[in-house]
Amino acid sequence: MPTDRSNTAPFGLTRRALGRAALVGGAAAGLGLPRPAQAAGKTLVVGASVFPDSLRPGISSFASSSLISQTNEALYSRNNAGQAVPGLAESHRQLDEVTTQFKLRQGVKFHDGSEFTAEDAAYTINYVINPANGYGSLARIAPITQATVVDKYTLNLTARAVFPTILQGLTNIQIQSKAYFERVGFDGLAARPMGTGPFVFQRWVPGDRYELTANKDYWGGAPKVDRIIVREIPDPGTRIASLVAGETHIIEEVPIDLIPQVESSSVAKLDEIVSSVGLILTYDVRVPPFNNPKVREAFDYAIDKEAIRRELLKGRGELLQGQLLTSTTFGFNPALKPRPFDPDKAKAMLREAGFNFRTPIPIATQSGKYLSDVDICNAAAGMLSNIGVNATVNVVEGGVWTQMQRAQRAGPMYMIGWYSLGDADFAAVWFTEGSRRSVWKNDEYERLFVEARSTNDQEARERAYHRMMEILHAENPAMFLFGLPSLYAVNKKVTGFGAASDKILRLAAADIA
Amino acid sequence: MSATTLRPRRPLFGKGFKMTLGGGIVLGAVLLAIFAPLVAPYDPYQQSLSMRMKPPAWMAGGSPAHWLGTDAYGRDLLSRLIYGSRLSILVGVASMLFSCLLGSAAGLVAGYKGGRWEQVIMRFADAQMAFPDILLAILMVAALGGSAVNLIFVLGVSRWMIYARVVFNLTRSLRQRPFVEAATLYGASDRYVIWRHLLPQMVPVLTVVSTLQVAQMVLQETALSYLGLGLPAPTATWGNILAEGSSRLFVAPWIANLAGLAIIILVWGINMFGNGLREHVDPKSRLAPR
Amino acid sequence: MLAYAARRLVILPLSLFLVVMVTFVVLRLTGNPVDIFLDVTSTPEQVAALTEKLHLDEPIPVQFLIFLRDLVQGDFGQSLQFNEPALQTVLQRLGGTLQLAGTGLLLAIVLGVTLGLVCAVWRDRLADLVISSLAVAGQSMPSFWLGILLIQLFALNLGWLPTSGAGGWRHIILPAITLATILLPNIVLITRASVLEMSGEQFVIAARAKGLSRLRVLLTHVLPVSLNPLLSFLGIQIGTLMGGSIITETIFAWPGVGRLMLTSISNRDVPVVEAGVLVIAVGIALTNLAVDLLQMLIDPRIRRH
Repeated sequence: MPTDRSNTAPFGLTRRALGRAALVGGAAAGLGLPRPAQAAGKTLVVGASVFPDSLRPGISSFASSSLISQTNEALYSRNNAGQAVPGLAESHRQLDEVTTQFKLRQGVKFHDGSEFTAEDAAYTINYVINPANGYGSLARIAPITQATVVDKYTLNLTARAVFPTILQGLTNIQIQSKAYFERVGFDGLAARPMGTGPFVFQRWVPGDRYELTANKDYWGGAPKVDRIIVREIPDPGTRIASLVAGETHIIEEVPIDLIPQVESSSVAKLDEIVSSVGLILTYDVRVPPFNNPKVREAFDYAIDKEAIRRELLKGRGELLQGQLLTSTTFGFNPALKPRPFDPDKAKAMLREAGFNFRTPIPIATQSGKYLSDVDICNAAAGMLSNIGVNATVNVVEGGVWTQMQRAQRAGPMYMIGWYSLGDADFAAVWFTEGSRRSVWKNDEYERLFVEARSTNDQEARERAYHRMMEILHAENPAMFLFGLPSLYAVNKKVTGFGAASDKILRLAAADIA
Repeated sequence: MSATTLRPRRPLFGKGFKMTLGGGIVLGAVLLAIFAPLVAPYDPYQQSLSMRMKPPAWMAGGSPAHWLGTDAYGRDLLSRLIYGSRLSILVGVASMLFSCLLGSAAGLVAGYKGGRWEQVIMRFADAQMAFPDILLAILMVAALGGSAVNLIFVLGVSRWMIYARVVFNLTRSLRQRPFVEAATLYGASDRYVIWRHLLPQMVPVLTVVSTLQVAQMVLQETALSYLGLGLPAPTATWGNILAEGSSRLFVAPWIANLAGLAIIILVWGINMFGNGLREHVDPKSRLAPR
Repeated sequence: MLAYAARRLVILPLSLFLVVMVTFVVLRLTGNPVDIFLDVTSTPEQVAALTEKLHLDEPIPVQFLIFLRDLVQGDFGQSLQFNEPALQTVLQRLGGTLQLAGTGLLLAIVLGVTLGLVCAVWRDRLADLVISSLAVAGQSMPSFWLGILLIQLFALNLGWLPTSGAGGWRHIILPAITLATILLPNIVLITRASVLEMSGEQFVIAARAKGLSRLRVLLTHVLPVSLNPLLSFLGIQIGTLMGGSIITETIFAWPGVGRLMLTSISNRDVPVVEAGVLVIAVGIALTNLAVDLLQMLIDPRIRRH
């Protein structure tokens, strides 16, 4: 008779046997993993939200400029508040209306030991302004026609017309070494940046990290830390977690909702500054329904902007005063006020204008490009839904977004933010025809813009900008929402670092206590 | 009878239990989806910015006004989850049906006609099997955009090979069977043979596979939503809610946790039902997983 | 067996061709790479110059032929994002993904087979019921949710492990676990079923009858052949593993091919996407082939087929 074995473990397997197997398996898993290189000295680790795809100079994204400006500097630099301050140039003066002369700093060395002279500056700028070279930020100094070397430390820049914002424009152009540039070519610059900056290129792993060492001979004084590692941590939760866990010392782009996580930790604190970005919802004014200015105005009444600022931005940032510019920007018109929240009025105006409530209105936006961008869009869409508008949010990827923008087919409404960097010219340009970003056209606005750009008379410029803001307010080519704060979080032991209004990391003076 | 034959014991979780429990969960979800407007206490799209991220009623700061708390825009989570069942189930079932039809047709043709048809179709299936299906989905959604129809299409296209394989194998083996040969001998047309003889034989297996695939489709949708490629906001799908909650896990963990729980329960129910069904259809396979 | 392998390798190019073509057409039709390469402030001259350089002014079939011509010479083109050879970009990241996937897979297999054995051995007892139920529940769970929870628990609340990135062995633990949980439940269930099925087979009974110990029979007779269905399953699931890697790499900021694919697709960086797709497809196909051959080796019954 076969024994009934159904009640016993068929193979008499012991726990020990299984345990042995587990040990072997576990040990196998631990093999062959990299060990991090141990470096002596202080290393500052920064958690960035988005990396540029390469270190190619001249891409006018702040992510790119932020990394490149660690190694390469401009003639005039921006500080954290967005003002242009002397960099590789010590001073400047106007020779005539269109020519500016720059006195360059002496005794500055590139990382390879060679000396910085006007030759390098001229070579770089002449390269940039040559359209055949395809330099991405050419537009920032487009009015410049020629850079000439006067002597070893003197440079002349000639423009085709008066260029009042020449300094601001120059802050975007990082100077290269002529000899190095000629030797390695443009691609070589991307592969291994070399400049006069406070940090020296060490290693670049795309999508992962950027490693730099301190430039002990930096003209502004040797950096306090010995090494910098900038890591890309795109997921905000992970980024915050890394700071709280002590793996990073500084992180960018703190989402508003996660601020409590930072503030409740004992190791980190928030660092905030007003940025010069004006966040807006732009209408496509070429097609219904937004070809009707009454509809655009009605939409302005439908959104409770103050509530969004209070709840989503937790009271941070500022409410745009019915215009594109933030209150600290030159050209801001203090006489304008935002329209109040009045949903009933909005609904009535829409009905009066014959608005078809069933028209789908997708609001296009990128995700994570501006603080709380998707959240704000969602909230706005909800408020529009409350008055019966069929609003949704369409989050698009970077590549598709750029394509939409270039083709100027971004849908009936899209969210975007324009930085002014302190001067109205930089932001106001995006509503002119020449920018190829505006489908709205207004002759008076165009005329005023050119006027303001072609004179050095600051009062005249300010008057022009005031009037331009009035036009924007009356015509509503966009709904003007918020000036956004720039939110960083830092380890409490970090000193010498401040939040930047233009998202550039300035680490030369940073130190870890 | 030999010493090591394992005599089957009456298991605690028999097929009946599985089908009942699983089926119950699925039925519950479907009813919830159908009667959502009656059951949900609030409009799932109604925002209330001053009531953002309120915790569920059993946590500090919660209230019975919102049993499961609110999400990042002050919308009632319970209502959103209830309505979310609609889209999750709809997308799951529709994409399963689409891929089932597509794949079964392909498998039938390949298996029945053989020859070049078989080569082309099955090679194509193999080629696609080699491709990570989520990568394909990302590719297609990035290209086509995220709408319900696109999503169903994309998910359906990503999985047809599974049905094709099953149906192909079945067709080939069934075609050899005497009753099929007999029917052909008697002059039955291809369509008659397929319709009357082959397909009925396949229904049980297909049902099992389909059921289990619905579960997979639901999970795929949540993955796509997490990557930002699902249905656009403010649509209430469980995947979207989970994605929204994932970025606020520290401050409002209930959003992601409850959405995740909903997904797990439904998918678990479907899987259980499917497994029970499979055991019913093929008793030997009680021992085998999916 | 060699003939079989050879036949499989010959068919490979056809599959890959299909994959490459579909990817190319989809990407080209739905996004213009010039937009990514040059930012929006670029001049029309710059745009025209780059369009010509990338052959974007040609009709798509012509573009594809040009692409193929270069491909055959091993040139995938320059990555539009990183301005380096696309293949190099992909291969650079491949190591990271292989590390992660390999560790996750190993973890899943070791743990899964062990647990599956436990289930089979103590079939229908408490251990089996608990583990099997958990396995079914595990099949039902979105993996990325687990990943984020793990970060919260182990990295934030307990502070035992790092939250993200690559580095020492501690950095790979959470991502590997997250990835492993995609396959673990199925491995457990398959092993369990397999072992149970095999233990009733003739040759096992024969071995026992010969007087070999139960443990010996289990480990040397049952387990090896039980691995066959497991190998089949794993072969099919390599693609899923790759897919899971995409998500896991995103959550944990792990430098690998998965994340690269995501950003490259959204940026229409066709060279990188094509290179990545091809590399992945080749890898999967070769793995499948290896699995098939391995199966033949292990299970003598299959060889006859």
